[in-house]
Amino acid sequence: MITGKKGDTPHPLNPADADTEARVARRLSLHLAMSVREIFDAISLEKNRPASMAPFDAVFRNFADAPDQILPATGRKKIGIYCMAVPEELIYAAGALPVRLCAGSSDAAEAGEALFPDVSCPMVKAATGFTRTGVLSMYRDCDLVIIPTTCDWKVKLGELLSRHVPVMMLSVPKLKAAESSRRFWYAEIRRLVQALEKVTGKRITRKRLRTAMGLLHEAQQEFRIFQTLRMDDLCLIRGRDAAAVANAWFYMDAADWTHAARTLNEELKERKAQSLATTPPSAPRILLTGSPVVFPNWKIPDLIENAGGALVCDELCSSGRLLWDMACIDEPLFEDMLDALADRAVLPCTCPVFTDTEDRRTKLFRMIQDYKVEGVVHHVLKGCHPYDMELRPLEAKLAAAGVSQLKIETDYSPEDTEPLRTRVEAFVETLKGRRLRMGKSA
Amino acid sequence: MRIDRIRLLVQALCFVFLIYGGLLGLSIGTAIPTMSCIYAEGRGGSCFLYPFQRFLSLPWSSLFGSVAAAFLIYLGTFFIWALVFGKTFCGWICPLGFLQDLLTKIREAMGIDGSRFAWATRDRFQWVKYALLVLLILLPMGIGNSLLGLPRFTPDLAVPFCQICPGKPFIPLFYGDTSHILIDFSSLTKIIMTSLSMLIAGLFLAAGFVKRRYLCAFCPMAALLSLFDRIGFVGLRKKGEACTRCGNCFRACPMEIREIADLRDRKHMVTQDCMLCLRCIEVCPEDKALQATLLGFPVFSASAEGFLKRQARTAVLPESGNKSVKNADPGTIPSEH
Amino acid sequence: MPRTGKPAVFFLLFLCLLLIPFSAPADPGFLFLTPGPEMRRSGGGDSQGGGHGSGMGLERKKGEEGKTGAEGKGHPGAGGPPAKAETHREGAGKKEDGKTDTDKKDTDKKEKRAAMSHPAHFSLLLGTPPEIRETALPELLSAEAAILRPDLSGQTLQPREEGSAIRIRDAALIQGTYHLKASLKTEDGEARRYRLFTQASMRNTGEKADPPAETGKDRPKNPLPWFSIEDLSPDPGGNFAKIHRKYTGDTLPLKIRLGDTPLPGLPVTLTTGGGWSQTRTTDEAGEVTFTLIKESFHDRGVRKQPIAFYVTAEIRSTHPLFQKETEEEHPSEGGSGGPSSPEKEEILRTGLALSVHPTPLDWESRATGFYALVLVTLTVALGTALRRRRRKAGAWI
Repeated sequence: MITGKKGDTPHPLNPADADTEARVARRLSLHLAMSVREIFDAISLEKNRPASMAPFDAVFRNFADAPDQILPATGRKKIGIYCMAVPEELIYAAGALPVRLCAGSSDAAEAGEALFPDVSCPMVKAATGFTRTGVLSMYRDCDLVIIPTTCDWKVKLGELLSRHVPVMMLSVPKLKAAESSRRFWYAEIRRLVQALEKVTGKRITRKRLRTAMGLLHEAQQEFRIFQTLRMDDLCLIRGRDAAAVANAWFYMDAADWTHAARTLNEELKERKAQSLATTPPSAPRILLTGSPVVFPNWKIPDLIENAGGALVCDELCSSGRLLWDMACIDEPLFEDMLDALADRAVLPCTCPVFTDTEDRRTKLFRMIQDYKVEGVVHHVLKGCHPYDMELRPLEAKLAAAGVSQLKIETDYSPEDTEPLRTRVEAFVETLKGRRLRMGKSA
Repeated sequence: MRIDRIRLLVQALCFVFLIYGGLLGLSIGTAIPTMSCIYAEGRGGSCFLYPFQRFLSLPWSSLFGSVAAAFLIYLGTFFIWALVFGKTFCGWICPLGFLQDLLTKIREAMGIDGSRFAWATRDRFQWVKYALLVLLILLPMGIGNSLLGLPRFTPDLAVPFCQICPGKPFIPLFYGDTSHILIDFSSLTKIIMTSLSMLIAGLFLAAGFVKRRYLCAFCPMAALLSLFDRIGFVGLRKKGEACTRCGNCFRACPMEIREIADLRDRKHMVTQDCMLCLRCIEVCPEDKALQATLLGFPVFSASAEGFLKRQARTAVLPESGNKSVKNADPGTIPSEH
Repeated sequence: MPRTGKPAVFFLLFLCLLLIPFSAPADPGFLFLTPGPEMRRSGGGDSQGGGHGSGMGLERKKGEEGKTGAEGKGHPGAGGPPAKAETHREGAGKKEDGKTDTDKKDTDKKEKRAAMSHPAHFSLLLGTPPEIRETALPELLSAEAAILRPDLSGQTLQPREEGSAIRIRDAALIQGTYHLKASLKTEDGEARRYRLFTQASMRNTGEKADPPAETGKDRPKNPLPWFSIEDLSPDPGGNFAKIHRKYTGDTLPLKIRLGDTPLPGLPVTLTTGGGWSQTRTTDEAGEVTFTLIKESFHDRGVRKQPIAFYVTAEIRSTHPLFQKETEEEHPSEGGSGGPSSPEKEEILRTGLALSVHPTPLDWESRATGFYALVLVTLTVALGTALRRRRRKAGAWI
């Protein structure tokens, strides 16, 4: 069921005349450009950055310079998606371009917060702000926006967005283990297939699906290589840059991204051979987990790394988890491939919106072991209740295993950067001291 | 090369050997724990169940008396076969398994999607093979002896499992022998048994076409071999910490064993249904989450690299190819610490 | 030597007239020779069923030799034939104990052979198949029976009443094939005359005899051409094994002759003890072939015992070939009893009784099995397809 259409349907609560809307849009556009340029100014001062970051940087620079050119120039239809629960293979198989619309701009959150409660998910506010103002054209240009009902905010986001774009809600089961849930999700995926076929006008056939899965497999292969390189003792790439690489997947075509990632991986391998690291070996290895970190909200990664930590991995749906899980082609037949995609979208997902925490716990412990993590930073956005709810038991379990942790509850605004910096620096010092105490070689 | 392909090749070779080996005078004995049906005259080895049922239909005075030594030797031979090979008999050697896998390949080539059991259905079916095993032990015993004071069973019930096994109508077909596709009207027992045989044969063809390894869910040989799941030389180990519960293994499993995907706290994963086809390992994308072991040593482990390589070779489409990236040089995932 | 001459015939007719109120049916039916009870008992395996059904396995392990011989046959519960054969051998052996034993081995062999030999013991039956029973019909006592032994010696045998049946005997001692013939002249209530012929053969494993001196056919002469049915089954071993066992599914090639002339275009009927019958016509060479299959299955609880099959044929004395035959053989004689006199038409009948052992063909139906298989396959396939159609496109719940 697709509700809404492109255009502007005023909200009954906030009719806001055209002037106000234009003013808000202009303000957002200016501030967004300012913050993006600030980021890149800071980046240009950094040394030891891999040159292959250029294609990814180009995508993000366009946020400031040419918002209309963020997405690749293509005649294909654009399908906006939120969350990882929508299998992008289906969109590629329908001959369209998937655009992940999860937003990270604090200015956009300001622009969109009029209709929201005081404490609400900043990502959803930002997405609403972008859609409402139309500052980034991709939010309005989508022929369909698919919103899975993973968290409560997204459940209500659909109605808000449907005033400006066609929206389709996808009902994601919360309980992974039951057969009825899975069968229900398979049915939802088939409903999605029908909607995509209708919107794009192209049939999703077995061949197209197979090709799309192959496309994603290649991207996932590069991603795995990338993540495995980060397991190395040398921190070959900054955590923020790694997040940017994954984040760029939101806006790039799969083939382009894979190509760029491959080049980057080659360079990282060379850097490894040359023992070229971005941080000194004394930097404690830190894992970031929790609510998503989306460009231009590099606040937390920058805090950690500027404080001297090495952000070697993250368990975020916006970067570290993005292309990790791979769907298998068991029988290369249509129904089976659809079901495989459906399973991949939901079963290994460690998001707290599902009923059990065990998957996330197992993954965290495994990452701690694989990446030789010394400290874990929990990032919880204000209003992000699932992550907040999982936090206490998770902290307890990790603490019982002797893992040092830091909990950060924040939102997108840069106002609390300084108080956080103190805390993060203290945390990094603790980790360094711990390392010395435990006799680890620097 | 894909393990699945290698397995099909091994199955084909074993099929030819077991069904036709006797024509060259080859034989590996009569205690083989697989459906090497005795109704094929030139077979290269016999199914364990036929002489087993024959032994059991002897009066106890001779079974535990004059032929006790022969029976024990016979059981011992079976024990050794089952210990060394275990469930690989099901996945790599069984002729009926080969036929079912061929049916599946035909269906895939025709582009017809398969069917799966509902979870509750598959769970409910699991007792059937044990029930069949108990029956194939008790019924022959009742022919030669009086069980619990009951009158002796009719000799028409001799080798009861062989009479209903789908191997009986189908394997002789490979000799052009259609004499086992019949209904025998000579007694009520025979009518029932031959009707059951035709029913099961029909199920083999129709249900085996849509559901992978349909009859293996009911096979008493699997029930027997599952006694050796833990102690067999070939094992399947899972590392729960590495598992993401992505469900790929469950999807690939022809026997639809959920435990392989759901359980993280269990190490030995050869369950009663498992036929050690190793497809689960092939599709597991997490390094070392699943391993096939021989006498405890890993011989085949799951890995992301292997997964991607095998997936790239699965159903590769000739016209579009899977190379959509400009630089055609897939990197290799560097080895971990 | 069978009797010839008028007086005998008139005497027989007189007897028939006397016996009309007691026994004569409207139509006497056919005459048959079937093995008597003593032959059946020692016949070796007649009482036990033939076919072994659906493959009882051929694999034997060394250890299984400890099992009884019955195991080997495939029926754990069946221990009959070997045991019976044993007892019979023992019983027969006792009779031979009185012999002097000069050469023990030879005598033992002879004893064995003699013990294994059994006398010729046949019952004479009269009736219309399939309702034929062993009854002591007095008119059967007037039947003429003769035996031809392997050494080509022939003898007339006299039917005797034994209990509730009429039987003929011969102490067949020589190894070889014995041929028996019997004929009967009778009348029915409407004074129609019948000549009934029948023949049977048996094989005896008795003492080995020297082969006959002459190979010529030194058969006793018949007054009339013998209306015969000859079994033409292949005999590869040359030992007349064809008369031993007939099984369901076997073909039965027959040659119908009158004297030495084959009779073409003659309808021949095969009837089973269960009442099913089939009629075929002989070809130009006087040959006809039947397949020994019953039309329907045994009911449940089949007895795997031999079934009686009867082959019958009838010809009237006005048949041109009959005329020709009589004139050829006995041109001078006016005909014994007037068979060639145009006014008195006689009906000639011949019969051959067979004991057919059931094979699995009688109780196994491959057609039913195949159709059952196809039916199950199609039902399951159709059911699955329907279910999947209903589940398609989102209706997974």
